[in-house]
Amino acid sequence: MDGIIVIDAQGRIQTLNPAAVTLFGYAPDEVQGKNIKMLMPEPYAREHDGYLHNYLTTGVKKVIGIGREVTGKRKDGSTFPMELAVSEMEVNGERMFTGIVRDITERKRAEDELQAVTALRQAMLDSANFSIISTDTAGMIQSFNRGAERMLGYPAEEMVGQCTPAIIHDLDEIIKRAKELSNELGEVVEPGFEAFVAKARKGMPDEREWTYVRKDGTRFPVLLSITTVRGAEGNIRGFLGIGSDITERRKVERMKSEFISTVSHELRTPLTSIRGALSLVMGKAAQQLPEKARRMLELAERNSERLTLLINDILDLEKIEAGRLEFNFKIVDLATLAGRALEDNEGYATEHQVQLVLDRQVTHAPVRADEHRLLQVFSNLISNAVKYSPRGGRVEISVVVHGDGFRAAVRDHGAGIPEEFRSRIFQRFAQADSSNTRAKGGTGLGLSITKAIVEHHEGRIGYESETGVGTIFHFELPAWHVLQEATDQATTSARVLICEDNPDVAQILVNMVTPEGVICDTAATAAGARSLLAKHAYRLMLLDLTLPDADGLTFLHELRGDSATAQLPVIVISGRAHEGRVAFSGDAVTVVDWIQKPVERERLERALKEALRRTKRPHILHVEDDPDIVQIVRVLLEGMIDLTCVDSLRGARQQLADKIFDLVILDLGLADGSGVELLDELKGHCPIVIFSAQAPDRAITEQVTVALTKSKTSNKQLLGTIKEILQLKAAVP
Amino acid sequence: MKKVLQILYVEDEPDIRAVTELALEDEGFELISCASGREALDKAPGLKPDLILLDVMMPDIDGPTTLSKLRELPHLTDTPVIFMTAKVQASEVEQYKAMTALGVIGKPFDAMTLAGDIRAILERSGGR
Repeated sequence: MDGIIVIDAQGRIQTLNPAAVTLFGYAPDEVQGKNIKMLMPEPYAREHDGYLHNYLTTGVKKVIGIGREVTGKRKDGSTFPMELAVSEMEVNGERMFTGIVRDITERKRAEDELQAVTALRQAMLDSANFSIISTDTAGMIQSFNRGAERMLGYPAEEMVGQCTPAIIHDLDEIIKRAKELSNELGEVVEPGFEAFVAKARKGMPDEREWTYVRKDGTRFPVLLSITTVRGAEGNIRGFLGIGSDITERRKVERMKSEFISTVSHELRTPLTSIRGALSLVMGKAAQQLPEKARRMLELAERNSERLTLLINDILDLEKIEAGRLEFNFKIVDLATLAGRALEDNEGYATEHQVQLVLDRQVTHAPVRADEHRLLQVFSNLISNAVKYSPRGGRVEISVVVHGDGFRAAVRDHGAGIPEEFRSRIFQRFAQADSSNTRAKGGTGLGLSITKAIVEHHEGRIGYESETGVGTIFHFELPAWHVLQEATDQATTSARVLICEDNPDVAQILVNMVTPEGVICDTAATAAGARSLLAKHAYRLMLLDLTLPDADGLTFLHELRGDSATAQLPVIVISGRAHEGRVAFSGDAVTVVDWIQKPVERERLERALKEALRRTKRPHILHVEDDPDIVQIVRVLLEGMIDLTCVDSLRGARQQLADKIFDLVILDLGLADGSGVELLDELKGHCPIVIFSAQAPDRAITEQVTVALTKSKTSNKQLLGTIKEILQLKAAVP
Repeated sequence: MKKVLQILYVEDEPDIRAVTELALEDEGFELISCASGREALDKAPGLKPDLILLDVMMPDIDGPTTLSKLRELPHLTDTPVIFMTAKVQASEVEQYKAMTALGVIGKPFDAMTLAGDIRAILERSGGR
């Protein structure tokens, strides 16, 4: 509530309302008749008499009739901001002034806070060391801060509302990133703006190094973090990218890495001599040495071995960190690798009287990986598990499906990882304690390297440990969904989808199928197959029943249930083909054949030829002058047939003169005559479906395969009829 | 008894040279050791070794340069070559192979198996 104070021409307070009393903290009689100055702090109080006098003599207003923000003084001497509006009036011939006052402390504070936030935001945006670029959902740049201007050499006005961030990026890098993301997310990420935001869109953190290209064409590395900007309902309103120039950091990293590399190589030279000399003595002359000398030499040899491992590990780690460790990525089977890792480490395990057990719950686990490096990961985890296992213990190695990928795990039944050590477990030179270091050996770099390798595979590593029960270390790698996507965009060849999780078998199938003149795409998982099916029109699919992420028969049911793939011919190739044949008996039309593995080449070739023959796209001639009907039929039949449309008898005759059609859909009322005129010419040529506005008379319907009336026929009936006719035709050779 | 194979061996580090000599001499190899690429090039015209064993990193003339100069000698154009080096990343090994090397022995090597390792490389490449 506003305070109201009335003063006379001398500045004496005449009346004031309770709100004003409360506001200033006085009792009413404490102010009644006193000069209004007492409610003002200095210097306003001092100046007020003069000001009032000045107004009364000259009429120059400062507050009266205007209103402004002033400062008030309470009884206790404290001051507060208030809004004051003064009006003049005459009471009984005396000039009076009414002031309406309002405490605006709260508003002021809110304003100050807003101001502080705004200033903070502006300071952040003005930061010269970060590029801060925001875009709308389509990628159009909405803001481009000073840091971005400075880093990239473009003024904001050239960017905002003008282009997408692609202009400041390396095109090849965007394409590469889009491919990586497609694999990682198991869906197609188009090379373009999506390559920046696909992860952010899914709410996943996305911080990675990119190359920025300045206006003058020069390049520099940035660490770019991309997040979504969301509206009140959580909807994405745009994207924000914050980048920092990491040129300097790179330089320091390079110097460090060169130093480590040089030192390690320098260390290796004398080590080569020491190790060689010891090994020769131990190998050739050990028997002639006194017992004590031999023990000392054994000790020296063992330690030179350890030093060698240590230097190798340091070099590996350094190379990984500098991004210089070479990874030879291929599609490999994680389940097979686990088996090999077990064999590789069996000797070591036996030495420690530990039994290695393999539990493969998936037959194939296709991942994109460097075989050698993954074996290194397994070896590190297995040797750790063995080291910390009791004598006679078991170490279990398993590979299972995990989310959208696979998880490999190594479990021991040892003492567990000490609580206080867990936070440091992946750090370099971290070992549970120094006495253990001696007891257990190892460089203390193994887990650190392992983590780095796993992460280089876009994977994650973790562990679960319980004191006295044991420890499981596990790493997850994304499944490789699409083994191979043909780059050949020629649409004339038939496209075949091979869904097979074993890369070797997939390759064999590709080799078998390609000579038939088709283009092959290969998916390793049902998810991969789904994404490929959504992208291309396939004439045929070869399907393995044992897929890592789905049961093949379930997947087949799923395909049958989806109108887009219901008619897709499938050849099932599987070790479980017999089982499938029983479960799917009756679907002879679309499952062309069930072929038991191992695949006989001839049998497959026969099935392929049959399938391709059967699935040769029928060619339909549609004679129709209503563009809406043409459009409907086109949409209905899209992807299943080749359609030629003409709107006149003349056009139909031209088409029929040099082409053979599998079906003619005929309208009767055409501009240049009735479709009936064509019936004679079409007789014996191909099936005819009359699709016209009026029901034709009996004489005509007897001459055609089917006659449908437009208003009485649903799209579904039309489609069903056409399919039925074409399939009937296909069944008769 | 197998035929004694003569090796032209180039290594700048005297201790490693001594170890290699000890490791190979009783195993059916005869070593002509050189402390530098220069020394190897000086000696090479009068030699017809069965194998050239080369260190990669050496002052003055490095291993690959030494090899390309040795290859200019008509009688050494087809002599098998093995590099001994600590630089054994896949791309580095590819480079050595591109330089007509048959194989690479990583340092630090195991002196006890060195002779066998060399024979294995020679046999794998068809006993050239």
